[in-house]
Order: sequence, then structure tokens, then C-alpha cells
Amino acid sequence: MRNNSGSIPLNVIFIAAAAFVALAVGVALYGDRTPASAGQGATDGHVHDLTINQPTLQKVALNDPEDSLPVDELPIVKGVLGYAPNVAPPVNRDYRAHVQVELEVTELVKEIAPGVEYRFWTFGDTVPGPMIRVRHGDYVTFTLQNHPSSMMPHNIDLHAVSGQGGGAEATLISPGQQATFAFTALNPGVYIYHCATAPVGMHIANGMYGLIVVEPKEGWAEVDHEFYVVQGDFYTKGDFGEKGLQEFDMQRAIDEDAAYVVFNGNVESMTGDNALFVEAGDTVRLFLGNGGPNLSSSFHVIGEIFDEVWVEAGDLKNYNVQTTLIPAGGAAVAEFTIDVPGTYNMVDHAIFRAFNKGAIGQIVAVGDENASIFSDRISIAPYDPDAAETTGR
Amino acid sequence: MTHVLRFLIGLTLGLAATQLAAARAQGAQPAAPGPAMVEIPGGPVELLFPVEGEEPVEVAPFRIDVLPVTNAEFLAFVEAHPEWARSAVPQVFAGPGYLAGWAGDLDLGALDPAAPATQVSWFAAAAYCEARGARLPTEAEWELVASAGLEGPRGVDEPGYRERVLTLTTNRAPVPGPVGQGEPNHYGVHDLHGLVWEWVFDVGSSMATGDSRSEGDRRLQLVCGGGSAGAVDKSDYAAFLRYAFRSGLEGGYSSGGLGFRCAG
Repeated sequence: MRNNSGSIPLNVIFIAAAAFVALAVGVALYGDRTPASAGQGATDGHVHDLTINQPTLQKVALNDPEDSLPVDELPIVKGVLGYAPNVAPPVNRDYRAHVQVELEVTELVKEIAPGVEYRFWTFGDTVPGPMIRVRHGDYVTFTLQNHPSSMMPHNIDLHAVSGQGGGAEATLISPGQQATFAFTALNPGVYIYHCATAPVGMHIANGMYGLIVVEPKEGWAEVDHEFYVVQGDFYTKGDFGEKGLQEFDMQRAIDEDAAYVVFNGNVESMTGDNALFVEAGDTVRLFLGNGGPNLSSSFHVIGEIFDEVWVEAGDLKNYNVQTTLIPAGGAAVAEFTIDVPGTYNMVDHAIFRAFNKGAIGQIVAVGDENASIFSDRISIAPYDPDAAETTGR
Repeated sequence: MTHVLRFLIGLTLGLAATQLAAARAQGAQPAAPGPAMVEIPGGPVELLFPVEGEEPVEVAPFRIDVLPVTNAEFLAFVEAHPEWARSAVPQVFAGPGYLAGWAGDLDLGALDPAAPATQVSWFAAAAYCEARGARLPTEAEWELVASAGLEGPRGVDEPGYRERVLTLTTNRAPVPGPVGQGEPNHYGVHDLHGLVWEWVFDVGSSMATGDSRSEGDRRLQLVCGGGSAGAVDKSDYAAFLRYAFRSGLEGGYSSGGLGFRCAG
């Protein structure tokens, strides 16, 4: 955190200067190796570019002529929100815009499991909060509204923001107030946002988090389905499944002893009738977030392999991944083709969380079987090693 | 930090206004007797975010209302001081939410007369106390009273105190019920945690400590991920909620969850 005195220590200036020189040299040497061409080779033939420290220089915003357009000349676009498991629609723009986003904070009692209620603090009435989606370089005017019925002050720290507290200080509002601040989305990627009002852990533990997606200027390849899944851990006085309105348990939160670990705010958010339905052969992109507050997610889809993972939702791509880690306060993107029909369970593979605390969701793929990829059971027969030995003699 | 400046200017204006109101009140009628107050012995108060290098705040003995000011009491005040009626009060002293739940200038409408007066700005609350010959309690005084348990002056010494206060704080009814229903604390004071937030005299001190550096630091501690780094007691979640709530307030603000009581 920067000190407030206004003067910058000399050593900081030296370090900054050195870093700038190193960057300039890096650009001169490697600047022509654009990330687009590297990515192309990798996705087409799975020929992976293993260059380490490749300067991707994604944070160019402001080098591109369009980024120097005065803000008041930018076309104004209303931010469209996406409510999990649905995503916000792709931005589908090839120009910079002034995106206006409004997000309302509410405090409300909802079910976290059948017959179990919890007093959630939310962005947009939902856990996770709605997905926000903008384009790299967009100028975003962000308005946070605290519903008059709220008890608590709230704010928002968007990890996609470069600046003080990610907007936390600028957006601190009491019940019945709204505050606006603005930022330019300097870095593409997928970022968590969360409430950062003291006590921060409690605001997050009550469900105040979501994802903001900053698409690269060239956009992303089309897929058949995009879904929005965010994990969170909850700390209630009663143990898992204990009915009634359950209160937040401070000691349990401090001890990191979660009663619930769930996707999208409810143990049944994506099971049964709420499952994510696709067809065999479809391509799927999962925008994965983890609000925490405490637990990292070992995210796995049973019976699938992620063809591609955007590690920590950054530029680094990994391929053929079974389980990907989503840190608390972090994100990842997983892409895969569902080759054959079936019910695919999404779990936190810290597996007691899946079967005893609720971290389970389902993708149901319908369509034609393909026995060359997966044959269902071919045969079943009794097996008795002793009997086999006897008959052998 | 322009809002701080704005608030301080507002504060000055507000003090002038309350003096004026008090002067007018004296001419018109004697101050209302007001509800019962109790004596609080003073003592050191450790605030959640102490200023580095400073001793704990030493609070002198004072008196404080046993109950929050009620709707009925505030209505009587407005009747006696029509300049604080919803339609008469200048916007700088009371924002658009001021008494918004009332049916008219002198009509509580559906509100319970015995419930705490809410939707009252800092300026109006200060004027009310002034008219009674009292004042708003300081943050340190309020915290001193609120830190008492059911048995003694130090709630933290009693098992389950923190949990109880946090539960009271977070499980309030959306529309507050009548005052004085809960158990009084060691000093005989009711409703400090379970009913509404309460104005304090130096409400701005949750962000303005008088020193521009610590001022910024304290506000940042309350709203940023750095969170509890500077806090004395990192597990007192209810205190974090109170301090954070105060840190977002400006003098003209009001809400249905914010009331007050007087001290003297």
C-alpha cells in the first residue's frame, strides 16, 4: 500500500527505472512474437510453446490508437449482467466503449440447502453476484447501489481494476446510497470482485463475490456453451443440513471449518433440474471463480478432461488438465468438448467437500453414444480367485 | 478527501444551527425532561483503531440515555421545533431520506411511536439532544457503554459475549420494534446492539482522526483488504461492523436502521 505522504522514496524510482529499461529491452528483442501467433500454434495442433518469460505485453491498452480517444467521444454501452450459471453475453465489439455498469447490493434470506436458510449479503440478489463483461481497454463507469433495506455499509473491490483498493474506498456506501467511480480495464482476463468492507472476511463469507470478465480485443473463439460457476465456503452455527435459519458462525470462519462448500450459492444450484444441459459433441467454456473466503478449489469434472485451462484465468494456457486449482479470490477458465453423453459431476476434488459439504454440480450431456470413445459396460461375471485357481488345477 | 472537508463544513454549519435552535427553544418553552439517564463512570477506552503513539482515550464520567430516542419523542421535538419538520429543514442538514417514513410533517403514519426514531440526520439528532439540554455521546463514550456485558463493565470477560453481540447486530429486524425490550447491560442501558445503529457526536472520527495520515489509514483499514491489520481486537466482528458503518456516514445522511440517544 502506498504511503500517503506524497513523496516517492528514491529507491522506488530506481527500481521503477530499472524495470522500465528491462521492459524496453524485452520489447525490442521479443516484441514481434505476439501472443496471438503463439496461441494459434498451440490450439491448432497442440504444439505447445514452452518459452518461459515470454513477454506477452497484453497490458498495452493505451498503445493502441483507439485507446487514446477522449472518454466523452466513446460510444456509451449499458453493461449487461449475467446471472449464474448463465454468463453475461460476449461483448461482440471491435471498438472501445464507455461501459456503464450498475450493481445493487442487498441483504436477504435465501436457502443454501433444502430447508436451510441463510442471511446472504449479495450483489444483485444472487450468489455469486452477476457476471460483468467488458472489453480490454474499455472505460467503465461503475455505480454501486446499497439498497435502503440493508443494515450494513458495503463496497466493491474489483480485481480487474488498477487503482486504490480496486474501487473499495471509492464505493463505500451506507444503506440507501449509491456511489460511482470509473476505471479503464487495463488487463484482459477473468477477475473476482468482492465486498471489501470491514470485517472483509464476513462480507465475503456471506456471499459477496462474483466475476468480471475482460475480453481481449480480438475476443475469444466461439463455443457452444459458456457457463458461470463460482465456489464459496460458508460458516453456519448448525452443521451441514441442519434445518432452519442458520446464523454466521464467526469462530468457525476463523477456524476455516466450513459447514458448506457450494457452487453458485446453493448445494442444489446445478443438480437435478438445475443441471447444465448440453449435447454430446458440444464445446463448453466454464468461467470459474472462487470467492472463498478461505478454501482453495481443486476443481474437477468427473469423466472429463479439460482440453484447455487458462491457468488462474491469465494468459498461460495449459492443456489436458484433470483438476485445476482455483485460489480463493481467483479464477480460471476451463474449455472442453463433451464427447459422449452422460452426467458429468463438477466437484471440488478435496472430495469430502463434494459429498459432505455440497460442492457438486452437474453437466448433463444428451446425444448418441460413441462406443469407440466410451463403451458402457461390456460384460459382468462372477470373480472368485480361489475358484479360478481350483479349476486351473 | 473532499467529502471530509464537506462534512467538516457541514458540521460547523450544523453546530451553528443547533445553537440557533436551542436559543429559539429556550424562548419558547422549557426543555423536555427526556427519558431516564444513567451515570457511567469514566475510564480508558481502547478504540478498535487506536492512533499509533497515543494513549487509550480517557473518558470522563458522563450520563447517557437508557433507551434510544423514540418516534413519539422525536415527533414531540418536531412539534416544538417546526424548523426540523420534513418540509422545512434545509437539505444541507437532512438529506432526502429524512423522516421519509412519516406520513406528513407531524404524522408518524404507520410507524410505531415506541420504536426508535430513525431516518434522522446527524444534525437533527444533535439538535434534538441540544433542545433537551444534552448532546450526542462521543464515539468513545458510546463504545465504553457498549463494551459492557450483562454482568460487568467488560463484556469480553463473559463467555459468549462476542457471539451474542454479533448475533444481535446482524439479526436485527428490518423495521425496528419498540425500544427497551432486550436485556439491559451492566449499566442498565438497553438496545445498544440489537435494534438500530446509533449516531455519535464525532461520527466522522471513524475516518477523520485529525491527522491526515492516520485519517487515511484508518479509512483504508476499514474498506480495503488490509482489513484488520491495525485493529486491536481482530475477532470483534461486531465492532468492525460498527466502525465501518460510521466511517461511511455524512452529517445529512439518514436511514431506517440508524437512530440515536443522548448523553450529558
